[in-house]
Amino acid sequence: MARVRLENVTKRFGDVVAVNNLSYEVGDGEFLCMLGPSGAGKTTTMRMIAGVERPDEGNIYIGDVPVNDVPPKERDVAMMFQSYALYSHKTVYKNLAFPLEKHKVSKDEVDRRVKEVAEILGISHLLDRLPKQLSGGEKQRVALGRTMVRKPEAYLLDEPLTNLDAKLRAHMRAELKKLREELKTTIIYATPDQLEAMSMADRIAVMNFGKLLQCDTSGAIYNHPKNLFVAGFIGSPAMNFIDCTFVEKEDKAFLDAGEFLYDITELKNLIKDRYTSPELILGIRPEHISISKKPLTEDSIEAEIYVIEPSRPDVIVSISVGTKALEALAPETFRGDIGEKVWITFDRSRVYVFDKKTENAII
Amino acid sequence: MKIDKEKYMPWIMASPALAIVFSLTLYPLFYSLYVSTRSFELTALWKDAFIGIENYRRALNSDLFFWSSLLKTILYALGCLSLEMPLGLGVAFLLNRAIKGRRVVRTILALPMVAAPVAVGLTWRYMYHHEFGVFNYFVRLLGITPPGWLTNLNFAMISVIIFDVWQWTPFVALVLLAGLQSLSPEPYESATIYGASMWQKFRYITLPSIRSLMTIVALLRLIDLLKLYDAVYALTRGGPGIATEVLTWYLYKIGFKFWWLGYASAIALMFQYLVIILSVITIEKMAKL
Amino acid sequence: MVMVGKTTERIVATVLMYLAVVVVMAATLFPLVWMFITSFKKETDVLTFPPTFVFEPTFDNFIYAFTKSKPPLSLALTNSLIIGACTVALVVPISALAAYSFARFNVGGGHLQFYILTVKMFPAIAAIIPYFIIFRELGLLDHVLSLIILNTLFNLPFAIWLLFGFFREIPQDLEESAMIEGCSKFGAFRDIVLPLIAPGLAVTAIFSTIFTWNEFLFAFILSRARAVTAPVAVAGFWTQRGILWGPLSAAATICIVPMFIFALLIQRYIVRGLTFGAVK
Repeated sequence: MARVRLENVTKRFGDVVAVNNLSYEVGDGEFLCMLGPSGAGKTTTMRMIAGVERPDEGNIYIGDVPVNDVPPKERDVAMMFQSYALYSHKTVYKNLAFPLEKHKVSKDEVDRRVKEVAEILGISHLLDRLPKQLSGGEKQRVALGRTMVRKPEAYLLDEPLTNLDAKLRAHMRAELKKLREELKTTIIYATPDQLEAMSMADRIAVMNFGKLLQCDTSGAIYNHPKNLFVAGFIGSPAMNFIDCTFVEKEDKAFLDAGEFLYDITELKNLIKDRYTSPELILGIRPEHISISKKPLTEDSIEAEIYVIEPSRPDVIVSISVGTKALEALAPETFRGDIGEKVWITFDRSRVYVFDKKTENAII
Repeated sequence: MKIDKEKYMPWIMASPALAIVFSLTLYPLFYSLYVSTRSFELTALWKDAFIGIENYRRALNSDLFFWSSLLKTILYALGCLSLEMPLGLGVAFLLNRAIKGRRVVRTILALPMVAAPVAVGLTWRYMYHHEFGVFNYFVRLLGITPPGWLTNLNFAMISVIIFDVWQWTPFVALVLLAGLQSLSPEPYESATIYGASMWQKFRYITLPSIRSLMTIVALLRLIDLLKLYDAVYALTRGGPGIATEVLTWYLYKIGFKFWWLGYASAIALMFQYLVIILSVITIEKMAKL
Repeated sequence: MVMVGKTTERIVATVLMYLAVVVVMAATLFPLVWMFITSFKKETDVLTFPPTFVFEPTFDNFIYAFTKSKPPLSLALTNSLIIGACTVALVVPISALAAYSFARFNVGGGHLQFYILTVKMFPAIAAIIPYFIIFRELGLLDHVLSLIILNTLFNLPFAIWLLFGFFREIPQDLEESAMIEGCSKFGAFRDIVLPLIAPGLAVTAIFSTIFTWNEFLFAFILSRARAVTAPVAVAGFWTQRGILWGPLSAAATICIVPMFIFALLIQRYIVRGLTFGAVK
């Protein structure tokens, strides 16, 4: 099993830059997830690794071998398409057998492997059916099976769970994780769903508009987002962002958010060194905001309840501070009325500061 | 070499078609150009000499027959179009409402088009026969004196037009029917709620939607009409006299009856390019669809 | 009694409408039916006025058509079959390959396709002059081969455009997946795409058959006695002595009826075919 490496890969379609100077590395046996919204360039990148698209700039290496000019069939990767790409005129058995037949595997071996994979995925009873006779979940497993049949150097899975309904998706997520434990192969996975990425991947590469924003373990991405987009994309409900200005008064420093001032004196120098301008954004995750009926600390800010959404197991409380709206997570026992005055407190150790212009994280 | 084959595969796949098309069109085209600048007559080979654009000049300046045939071609084309388009549209409308038996209807409408024009044309000649033709039978039943369908100088062209209308209106109807069927019913429904009449719906909703399709059909028909030959051969052979001598027939006459191949080549080339210009326009419109 | 005016209006309208449809169908079918029944009439029934609608059918015309016609009808039909079969055998694979290369790889950036399509638009009578001279030089006049060549040439553009439309309807994932799994470009075409496009190939073959079978002008000018085709033979019943209506109708019937069967098979695709795939 080998690594996959991308160096400064760029791909354009006309005026649109689909993939912009992308570089990352996937280690042997690692599960890397490309996470990003539609149009982020995940599928295009995957297609370039598979060999169906050629990068305009940059190099791709599979197992340390540069593969820019190598046709797909010689790259020893397997790709699962979002649309499944099942051969509708072939039975499930023949679909699964196809990659092996193309690699000149003996008939007995083909039979053995197909049955093996079918067993693992629980589709042995479907081997004689045609794709149009299968349900969505069954089709997905056949598509997955076709990638597994060959035991390639790397697996490329393009949004495999996106077309399934929620329940099936949760189920398949667990199945994939188990499968991954058993197979121990290099997997590159694309998805717009951060929950999938966070739960399954060793490392996540967050992408948007073709650019790589951060490539790290899930923990690092959650706790130390490098970038406004990453911070806002990961975590549900999403992080709160408050525009503010850095002001200094005597020895102290504050983030002036209009409706309130937040004391950040201890980080004063750090911020001053790193920002490009005093225009900043304060970030705080809903789970790190405490709501109480009385002020807890001197940093507590007065706010008003806007909406309460019981979202088990927690309660999402939308509160307004003057004209600013924030979301906070409260325990299930929380009770409150709309319009009621409450106090919110930020967990100081979990406050993030972003430079408004560059959108990079300062803390 | 293996990698090379894969990379060039698309061109390899297209090559047989390209080879056939280019070898069989370019050479004859240039040859035709060459012949058109010579006074080449198959039955008078000693006359063969280079005469530059003399053939072209002769056709355009002094050949009345050429111009009359061109005129007839245009008249014929316009005559057919002016009948086929409205009739076709009408039939399309009709069929759009009547939903049952669509398959049967489509098959029946397809029949005139798949029948060899020469063969059907000769049948029509029989039907047009002044004595034994079935048309005259019906016309006389109505108490009218039948015209000399194919013998009357003025009527002959009309008879040929009628034949073409019979053969190709179904085509217009089928294409426009396909267009009508692809229209969504919503604008019509809201128009009905607003109390629009049939005519208003037709004029303000239907017509604009199928306008581009109608243009394409009209252009396709026009190109085919200009190329008309088989029907003239079967019905009138250019006659009576030269009443139905359209451009293709004139070309046939001078090329394969008089064997003035040099002169014919000149006219042929001009004709060819006229049609190509029209075709280019049509293709561009089709591409936009 | 309360008159529900709207409903009666609607019924009348519906009846009229179906009546109109029947009229249109009848007008379309009449000449063909007339031709068909004329071929079974005795000469005395053919050359009479008023024309006979009820008569005693006979096969005389067919017998005459086959035995006494010049050029012989049987030869013409055989030639038409040979030319048709060879043309289709050439056109379908060649056009499929070319259409695929245009659809998937955009070979020639659209310009080549454009040129090929204009070929279809050449008026036959104009195009034929150089071919006549050239084939005459080559001694290919009155030879089936020259007709096969020309028919192939003039059916290719249409076939390519038709198949181009079919290919574009197939999503590319399947071929890409096949290529990742070990197929070459051609392999993906052969193993994955062709089976999916089988109906399109059949339709193309049938259209080509119809066009080639009905082709008159090239056959007429380029043949004398040995390479005549069905339409030419039918036209041959217009002799110096006059038109032999009975046998002519018989020959015409034989010439046309096979095409009807094809029409039934492709009626779903007629619009698409005749607008070069632009309208579906």
